Amino acid sequence: MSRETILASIRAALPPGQALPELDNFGLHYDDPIQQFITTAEAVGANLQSVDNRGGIAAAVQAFLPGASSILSHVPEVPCKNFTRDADRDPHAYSDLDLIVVEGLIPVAENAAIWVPDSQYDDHAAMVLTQHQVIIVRASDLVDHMHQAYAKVAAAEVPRFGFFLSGPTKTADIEQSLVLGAQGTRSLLIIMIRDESTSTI
Amino acid sequence: MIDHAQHARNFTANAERTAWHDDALWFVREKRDKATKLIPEWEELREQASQVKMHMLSRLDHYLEEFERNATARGIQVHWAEDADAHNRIVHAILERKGVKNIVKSKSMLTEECHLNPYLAERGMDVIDTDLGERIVQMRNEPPSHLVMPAIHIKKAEIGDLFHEQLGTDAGADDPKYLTEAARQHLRPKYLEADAGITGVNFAIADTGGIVVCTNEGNADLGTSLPPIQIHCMGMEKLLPRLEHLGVFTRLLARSATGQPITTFTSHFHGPKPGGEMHVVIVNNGRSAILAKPEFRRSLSCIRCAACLNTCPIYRRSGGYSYGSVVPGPIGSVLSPAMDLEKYAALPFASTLCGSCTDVCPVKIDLHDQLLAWRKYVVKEGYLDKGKARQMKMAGKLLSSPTLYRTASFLSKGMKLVPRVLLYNKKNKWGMERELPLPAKRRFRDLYRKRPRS
Repeated sequence: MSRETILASIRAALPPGQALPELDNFGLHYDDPIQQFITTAEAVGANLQSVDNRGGIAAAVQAFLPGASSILSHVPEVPCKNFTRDADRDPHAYSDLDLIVVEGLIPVAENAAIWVPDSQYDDHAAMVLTQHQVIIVRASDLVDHMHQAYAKVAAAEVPRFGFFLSGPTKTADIEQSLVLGAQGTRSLLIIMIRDESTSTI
Repeated sequence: MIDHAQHARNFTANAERTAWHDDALWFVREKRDKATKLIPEWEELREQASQVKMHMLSRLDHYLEEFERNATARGIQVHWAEDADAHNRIVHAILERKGVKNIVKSKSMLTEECHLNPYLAERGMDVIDTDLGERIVQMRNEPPSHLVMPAIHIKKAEIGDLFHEQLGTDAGADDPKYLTEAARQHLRPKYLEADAGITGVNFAIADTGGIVVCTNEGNADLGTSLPPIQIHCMGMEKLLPRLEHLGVFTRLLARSATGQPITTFTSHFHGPKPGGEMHVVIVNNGRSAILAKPEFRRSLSCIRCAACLNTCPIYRRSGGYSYGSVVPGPIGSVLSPAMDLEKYAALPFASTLCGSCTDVCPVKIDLHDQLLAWRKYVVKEGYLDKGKARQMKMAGKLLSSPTLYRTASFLSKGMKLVPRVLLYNKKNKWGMERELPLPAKRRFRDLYRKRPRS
């Protein structure tokens, strides 16, 4: 009933038709998208570690959080610790999680955002309840900007859940003072794999 | 009727605090400027966003139906609410059916507009606002004073006192990092106890049937990923036709709002979690009436970035509460009169019409033109303040008659001889807290007549 009332009131009020503009990505291109991504990632509070190939992942994770009390890893190079992968777990159990390790699919140079859909982890809750986070990206997957990123997202089946993540959580709600680690992840390490020839996912 | 001028007077009575507030907002405006200057195609991006929104509004019925169809196919339950009351009843019914007691809610100006929190509280439900700024104002029993930074008007020492009283932090402690950590520890159990999560909606996508929520704290994700029920409340103008349009809007939103390149979380929800429920409530609440008004319909393009608040010389110096409306600032001053012209008749006058709001708006809403257009409605409906009306009438007569104007302009030469009490009194509102400029020694008319001729 509300539905019909609302649609009728909209139809009675519609402005003259206006064409949808052609999507344009403005030809924005970074000469060095890797450097642009790294600089921006650091500016939004992320830590960044470049590695030559996947062989460097384990050491980078270890160096980032040597004392991690628990690790939930979604990559073969890093073992889980005091946590096992269980897709049917009650999501509340992730409140004890110290570190999660996942792969990101589309790193974006302009804003250091990384597309991480739910194919990359067992539970969305684990991604936000964890204290710390590692996201692994390949330099060869880098796109310049969000127009390219969404073209890639739209080309695949849209996941039930997915997010662009840019840096650890933050707030400036108290007198504009930036505080990293507001409610979700306190810190984020992005591991960038530079050598695409040896990478496999 | 909201007396903006009186509220502003109360706010500016504390000169030190007014300057502090002004500076805090200007700091954010400057961050926005820096961020936008890094994007060479910024102006084209704004134009594209504006056109996408205007197209969407011109086919809103079509896109709403497309959204509903696609969302439903994904297992999302779509509800339609004609007004605030219907919205609250729908949300309450969903929660009631599942016996929900504890709710976590991330930032949503729409649920503020509908006054959802008190509605649910009166029915025995506990709603915790989880955005840090919103939690702070909720603890103080205040509404947000800003769209993006709800507690921008509160000093850290006051937050320190509030947290000491309610969360047991150390007396006198006002370090933002310490206070944020205390809020984190306070809020975490709330997420774990919650039976349902409610969020606003930044964007809804017609061709995929999903919604997008943007936060920096991750609180919308914390609030929706744990409990089995998630409810997303959206104004019906939040639609975008296609997923790819997010490329345009995610580039504009955070840069315009806080100067960040993008929000930390840009979360795309396209269906309920296994065994859970996902609801989207589409709300009209006066929006179709705005759509019907050609001079005001562009205001429905608003993405609530608050850039117009941060730049507005009136907002910065009068504070969010002076507007007496859920949405303050320039955008609030064009949206609120559409809801209740009599109550908000003063708001279109809370502007110098300098046009800075229009310049920074990421979707190119012609805000200062709309403020001027609302003034005409206010006059036509007879809601103009009597003193101001009398002055305007006199000025109108003067300016429309060349003889009267010349006489007045000749007499004004003697203005410096007029006793101050005649110029600076309660009847002359333009003389209050302002020095009237002295007339030039030689009038333009005289200069023009005596110009050298070849």
